[in-house]
Amino acid sequence: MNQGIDLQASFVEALTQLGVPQAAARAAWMPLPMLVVIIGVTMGLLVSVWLERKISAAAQQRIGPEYIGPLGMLAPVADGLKLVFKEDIVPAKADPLLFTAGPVIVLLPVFLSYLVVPFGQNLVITDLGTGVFFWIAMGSVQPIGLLMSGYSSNNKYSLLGGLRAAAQSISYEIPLALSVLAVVMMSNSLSTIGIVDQQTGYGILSWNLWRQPVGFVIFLISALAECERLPFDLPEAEEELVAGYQTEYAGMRFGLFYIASYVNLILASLLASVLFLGGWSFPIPMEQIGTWLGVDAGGALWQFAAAGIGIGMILLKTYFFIFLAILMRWTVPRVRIDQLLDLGWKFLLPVALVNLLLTAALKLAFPVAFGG
Amino acid sequence: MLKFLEKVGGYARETVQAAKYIGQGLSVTFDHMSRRPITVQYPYEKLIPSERFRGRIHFEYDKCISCEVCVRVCPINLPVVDWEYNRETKKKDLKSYSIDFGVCIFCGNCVEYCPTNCLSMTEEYDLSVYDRHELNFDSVALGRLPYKVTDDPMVTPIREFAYLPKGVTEGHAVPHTARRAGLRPEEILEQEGKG
Amino acid sequence: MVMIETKAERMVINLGPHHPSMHGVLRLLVTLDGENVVDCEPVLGYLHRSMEKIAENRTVIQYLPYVTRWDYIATMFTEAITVNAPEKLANVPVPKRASYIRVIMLELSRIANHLLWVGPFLADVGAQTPFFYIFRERELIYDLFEAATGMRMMHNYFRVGGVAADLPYGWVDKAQDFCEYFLPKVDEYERLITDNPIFRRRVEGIGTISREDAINWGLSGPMLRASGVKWDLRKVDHYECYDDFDWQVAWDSGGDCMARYTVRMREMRESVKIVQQALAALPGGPYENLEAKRIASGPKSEWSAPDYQFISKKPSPTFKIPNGEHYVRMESSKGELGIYLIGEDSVFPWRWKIRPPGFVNLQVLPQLVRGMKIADIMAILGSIDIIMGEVDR
Repeated sequence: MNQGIDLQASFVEALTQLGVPQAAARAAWMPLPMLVVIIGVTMGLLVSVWLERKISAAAQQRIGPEYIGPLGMLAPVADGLKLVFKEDIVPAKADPLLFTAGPVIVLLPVFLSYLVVPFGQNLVITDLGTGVFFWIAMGSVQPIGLLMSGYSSNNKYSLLGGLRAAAQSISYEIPLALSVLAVVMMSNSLSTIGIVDQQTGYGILSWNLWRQPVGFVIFLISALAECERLPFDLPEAEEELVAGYQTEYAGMRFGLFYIASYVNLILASLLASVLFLGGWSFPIPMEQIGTWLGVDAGGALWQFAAAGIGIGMILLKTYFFIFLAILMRWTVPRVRIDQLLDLGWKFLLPVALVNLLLTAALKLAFPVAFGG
Repeated sequence: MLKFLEKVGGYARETVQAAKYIGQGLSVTFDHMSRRPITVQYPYEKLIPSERFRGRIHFEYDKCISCEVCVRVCPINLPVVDWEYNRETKKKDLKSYSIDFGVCIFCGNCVEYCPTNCLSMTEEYDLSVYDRHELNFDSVALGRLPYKVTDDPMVTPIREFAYLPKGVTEGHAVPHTARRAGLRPEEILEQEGKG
Repeated sequence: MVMIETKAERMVINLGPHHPSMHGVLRLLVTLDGENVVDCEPVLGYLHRSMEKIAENRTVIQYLPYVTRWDYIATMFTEAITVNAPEKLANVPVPKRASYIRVIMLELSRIANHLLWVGPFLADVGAQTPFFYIFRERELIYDLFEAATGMRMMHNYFRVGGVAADLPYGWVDKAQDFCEYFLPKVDEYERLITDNPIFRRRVEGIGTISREDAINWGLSGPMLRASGVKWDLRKVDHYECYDDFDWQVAWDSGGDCMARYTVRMREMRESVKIVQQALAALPGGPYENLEAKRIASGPKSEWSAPDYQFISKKPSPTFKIPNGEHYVRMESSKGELGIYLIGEDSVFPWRWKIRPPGFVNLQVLPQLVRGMKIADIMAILGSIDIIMGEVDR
């Protein structure tokens, strides 16, 4: 397994060669990944908002945004600008502190979770040992923010929406964690990099999708529920609760919720591709292609190309999941709250547990295929 | 144990069924993604109003005999007919005629019952103004003709469904000059004469 | 279902008049226990325009443009009943051709109404896309209406003794085109909606009305037929020329939202059948053929006989409603639409009582939603098919 390109090391090395002390070089590196994450996530957000509008339009035989930029690509930017310039209203009887803190608490953990999302062998901000569980832990912070904003709005729709959000997040976190756990068990690693590494051996055949089909489906369903996307968008169910916990929000505070929901969708799709579709790995192992082409696998150019293809691959897989989620949103009706909880507790949870047990048994029985 | 397995089997079957039907729904929406959008991009494309379309009313001052039938059939007696009896000609002289299109509901009763056909309905429907009083059309404004959609170089005219050729359901699919369904009576006669 | 009594304080929540799924301006005062509905009190009257009082100082001609504003989704029915009431009181004959044109218009209007029921109903349970699909088909119906009547919604097409104008050239061809185009689209809706497991779970067993309850509450239309009562005024009263066609009364015995959905879907197919038969059997055929025949056979031809006219006699603006009183009803797309008319030999009716189907059907709502979840309110209300313009009048 080659190490791929190590941006941080090369950056620090370049700076030290210029005569900058090593500590200063390391400090200079620190803000860069943050910047990259924020810019990258914002770009991803804009793209998925645009995709949502274009795909929903296409599925409904409309055109969608067309005149704001080429193919209406600047429509999400215009949306964002509008939200920024709108008056920031706090309802008279709302609790201003909680009301403001709510959207921030919803947004922050989502952004923090990007710390562990790998785009390549070393293209990750921190390769945390606890990787995926950091993401799940961060995800559990979100309902607190939703509950806060629902409670502090002093609006009955918001309160109901906040309660639904909390109930939903809590009940779907468990099957989500269990399906991830099965993957982790096979990979012998919690680190996202480790999980991908373990899937790279035989190209497309070694992806976890084939060894964890049930876990994959459970993951998709619970991730949809965690993102509050349509079959499970009860907290903001427009026809029932007007807009749920967002009812009283306007301007940038609403914008934060909006950003959080899409960023969360991208995050879930990224992790779905990392956990089950081999992350950045190409369907045919890159090393294999390298040997076929007769290229030196250690060469800088090849490394660069491989990293580029890796980023392309993971984005492709991610946007496939986003496409699925969007198409799903515009196809199916919404479930009812009791059906939602039934599905979570009476169906997904037992199935996820059985899946976990089966994985453990298979791991003991066939250590070769199931990461013994 | 067997009962339990049966239950599990039933569950599994149900799940597969559910997945199948959701997939069926997804295939319908996915299929729509490759179909031509049916929306009309309004300021750039416009539907040609039908020939019976009841738009803004046109009024011919010289034909009017001030009989006030239009007022009597109007649901709210809207047209204002100001006339004076001329003793010499023993006729009513029309002094002014006006309809307030901010109030008119374009039911067309006045046009239908006008004995001299001095009222008619145009194809003009976008009557937006900045001040509602501008919609109170006097006899001069009522005498203006609207601009035809087909003459506007900025606009792509699109036919409505009822005026498309037989078998065509979508206005974008054919040019607006395509001949509508149905023969004219003289053509039918000609055909019958031949056949 | 056994409910555990919770000690929590009940929440009174106000749904409407401005709420995304209140179908206009209905207001519901809902008492909630968590997510469960304890009580529900509808508040009406936000769209009240005193339509009955207005009728008392309008001639029939003057009043006709108003009536499409009662039920602005199924507009042809309101016009039809408005001309039927004085027509029957004054014994005005209706030519056969006019009657066929009326039936075609009424059934197209029924399809348009059911389409605009399916879309919002699905939107009420959360699926937005069918809303756009139904508009695609509804546009075609409205294009047909526009070509024949001059307006898409506010037609003002029916007249005492017939209709305002004959069908335009090519209209019959395009109406047949529509029927052929429409049936596969219904199949497509069914593929998208009917078997969707989430949809099924949201509507099956929700808002069940038993056969007895449905009759006792005075329900009509698809609401009644979905509860297993085979009652359709088109078959019962034999009005217009519905007896000339071969069609079935759509009904179901489920009594729940799903049954109402299936009844309406089936009714659309039946309506297409009726329209197709009426188009084929239209006395005199399409307008262009009729004209050609009239030209060919010269003046006083058989083709100018009363039965081939679109109206028996153009009503005068001072058409007098004779003395007497009676109740006229017809099967609108929502149920029994009736007019109780009292005339006193004057141009204005003395009393013009409207029996709107939506108003009567709506009263069963509080009983249906009690004990259900808050999300079921939307499914049940959606399945009732109300238009506030007609409920409040």
